Amino acid sequence: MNLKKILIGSQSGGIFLALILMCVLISSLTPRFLTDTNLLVILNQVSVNAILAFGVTFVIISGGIDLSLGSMLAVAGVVAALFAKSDGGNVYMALLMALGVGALMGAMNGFTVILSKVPPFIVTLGTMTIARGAALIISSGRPVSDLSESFNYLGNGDLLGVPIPIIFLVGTYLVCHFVLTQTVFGRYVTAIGGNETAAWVAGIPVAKVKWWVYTLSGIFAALGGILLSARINTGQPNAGLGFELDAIAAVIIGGTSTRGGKGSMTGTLLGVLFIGVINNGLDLLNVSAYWQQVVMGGIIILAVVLDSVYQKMKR
Amino acid sequence: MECRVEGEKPVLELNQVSIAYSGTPILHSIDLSLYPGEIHALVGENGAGKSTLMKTILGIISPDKGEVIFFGQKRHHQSLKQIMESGISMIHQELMLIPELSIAENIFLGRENELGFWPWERKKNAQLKTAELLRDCDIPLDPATLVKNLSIAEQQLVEILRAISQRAHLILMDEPTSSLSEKEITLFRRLIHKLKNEGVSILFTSHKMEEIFGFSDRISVLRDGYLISSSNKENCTEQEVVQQMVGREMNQFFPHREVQSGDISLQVKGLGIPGLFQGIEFDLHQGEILGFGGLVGAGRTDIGKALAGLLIPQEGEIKWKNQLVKFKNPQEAILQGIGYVSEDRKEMGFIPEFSVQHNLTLSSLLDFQRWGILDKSKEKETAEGHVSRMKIKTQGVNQQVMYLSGGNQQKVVFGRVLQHLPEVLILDEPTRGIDVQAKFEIYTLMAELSKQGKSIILISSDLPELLHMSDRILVISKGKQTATLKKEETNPAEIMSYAMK
Repeated sequence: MNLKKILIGSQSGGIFLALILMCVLISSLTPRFLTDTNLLVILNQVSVNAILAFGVTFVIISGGIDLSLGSMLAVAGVVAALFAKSDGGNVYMALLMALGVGALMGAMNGFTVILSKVPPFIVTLGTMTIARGAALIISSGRPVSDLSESFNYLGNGDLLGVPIPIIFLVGTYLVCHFVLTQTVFGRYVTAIGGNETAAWVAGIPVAKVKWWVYTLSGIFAALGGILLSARINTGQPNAGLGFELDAIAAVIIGGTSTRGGKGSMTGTLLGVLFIGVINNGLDLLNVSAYWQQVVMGGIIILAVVLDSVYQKMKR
Repeated sequence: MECRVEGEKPVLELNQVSIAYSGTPILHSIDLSLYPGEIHALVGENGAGKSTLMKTILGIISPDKGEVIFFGQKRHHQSLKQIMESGISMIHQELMLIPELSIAENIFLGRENELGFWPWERKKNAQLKTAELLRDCDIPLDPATLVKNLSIAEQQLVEILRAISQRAHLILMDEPTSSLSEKEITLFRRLIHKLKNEGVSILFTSHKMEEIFGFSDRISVLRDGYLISSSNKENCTEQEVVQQMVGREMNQFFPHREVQSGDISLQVKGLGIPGLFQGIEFDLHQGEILGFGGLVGAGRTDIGKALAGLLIPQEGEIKWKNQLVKFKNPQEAILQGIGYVSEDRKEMGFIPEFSVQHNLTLSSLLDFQRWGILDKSKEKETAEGHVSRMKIKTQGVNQQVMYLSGGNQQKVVFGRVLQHLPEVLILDEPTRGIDVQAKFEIYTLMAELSKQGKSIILISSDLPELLHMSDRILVISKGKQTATLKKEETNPAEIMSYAMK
């Protein structure tokens, strides 16, 4: 894909431009930004948010929302840690159980949304609280530590010099991008977000597709939880507080419509990187953590406003 | 300006109005004038520029060249509030009512300060004034009824009442009758004549010839942004108008069709859903077109939905190829070979942000995949086939359907339904709100499908369409089947008498 096509032809043109400008701005302010190590650090830092964001992109494109990401991440992270203890733990078992728990919670979200017709905002808000409680119950409110070496490797190891979380980031991006643009499922998800009634009348199994969308969101949250627990080498019941908002912000910055029916994984990836670059830049510039939040919020709003202006100009 | 009535000044004058959207010209130097109490029909195919012209007159769009003069004053782009107070009001094609508010509240929406100062005072006055308005116009509705509880046709009447209550000198109506049934059209005709007698001028668009000739004093024809003609009704014929609209001779409006029905394909016995309809019985043969006549709201649409899996029948049975079937959702009906085109194209017909191609293949996507992965080149090929065969006017298969005109959107819906290879087609108002040319093409398509042995159920409020296209007509009134009439042996009056039974 050439540069012109990215800038003009795709929905993600605006955010791509914003990301480049942000990188230019920060690297002009500090020489420590544009280095190989720092760029790897950024990618590594955003990997968990990226994985959550990819999962929730499906949900948002289908016209829904998932606020329970952060809590599902915590439950899965704790479950993974419990099965990956250094004494007698098994990494494969840990992965399987954590992903299974994530899928189960996502599936419950899906069932409730489909059967009750209650807006997904409310359903997943409830799940957010329930799952947080569950994480605290399972771990008795304490961090689960003493995890096995091989589990730790998932968060801190590398393969041919590339950190494992970055491999997961790239892998999930490629899979999600493929599923969204090249498969029947991706087409159905987009159709449902575009006009759910028309999609149903056209013979799309709307309930089944929506159920899968929430289940996938749970599985991706669990994957994020596994990587986070592996990186900090503990299962934290309080992990992932507010992560859902970062993920949703990245999706929206990436140009996915909050009303559904339109969006892309590339946009989400760029949104995640945009947030990551700003966080990293503010760190490098020694901006205080309190001010970072203020600046971050302002920049997110600005980015979305500029993008909508840019999209209008293109017409 | 041509001289018409001595001393009478036009209410509205357009001088050389031209408009272009991002370089594409939409209107070319339009000259038009409207006199007090004149009812003026604006006709043309979809995409001819009628809506743009109306919006320009209203003041939502400013002309690139030329001027719009209303009561001697040049009109500029203005805010909606200014427009409302300027003496021109518009009834849009899409209803612009707020469902959760009552009729009275909707009619006075945005003008509450005319009703007094205190909220309770306003509420009472709105109620009183609306009741008076409804009584004046012989509409048996309660002003306190919430709009969401009204039928589409009743909502349309409320829109018209709102325009009347604004005491406008000029009312623009974009297809005001597209969702009205015969009975309400009579009511509508009375409303217009009342307005005319009060000196109000009306400019309306319509695709129905009876209305264009029945209501108007003058008829203007628009084609591809040019004003082709503007003449008094007495000086032109239907044939001429149609010809001017399409720019070519249309020898026959309805295609010729040989009736040739084969075996029974669909058998319906005692079908019912309490509160909607009951006791519906008919046999549908291969190659037959069965018309459903009746008033809007008689339950025809619900019967169609029940046959296509959108509603689940509670009583009676449907036999399909000699097998009892019960569809739980549209998907099951589609898999069994039942195609459905809804009357509500926007809500149920297509995905607006999807391209022509993606809409066309949506119901048959499983034929375009292997292990869940889409075969996009096959999809494109199929879509291009539909576009050229059905003459869908689009920039290409990647054009988003929301940017197409109504007639072309409908063709896309037809294409999607035909692509899943149905043996029975249920068509609910398939030509509502689409232009003459597209209508003709859809009739031709229906004739062709029935020739191939497909059975068609045609639900239509357009009597000429129903009479010309159907082999038999089932008349529904208040959810009950009141007659089954043979095409050769019936006439519009008979159908209407059963429809109102």
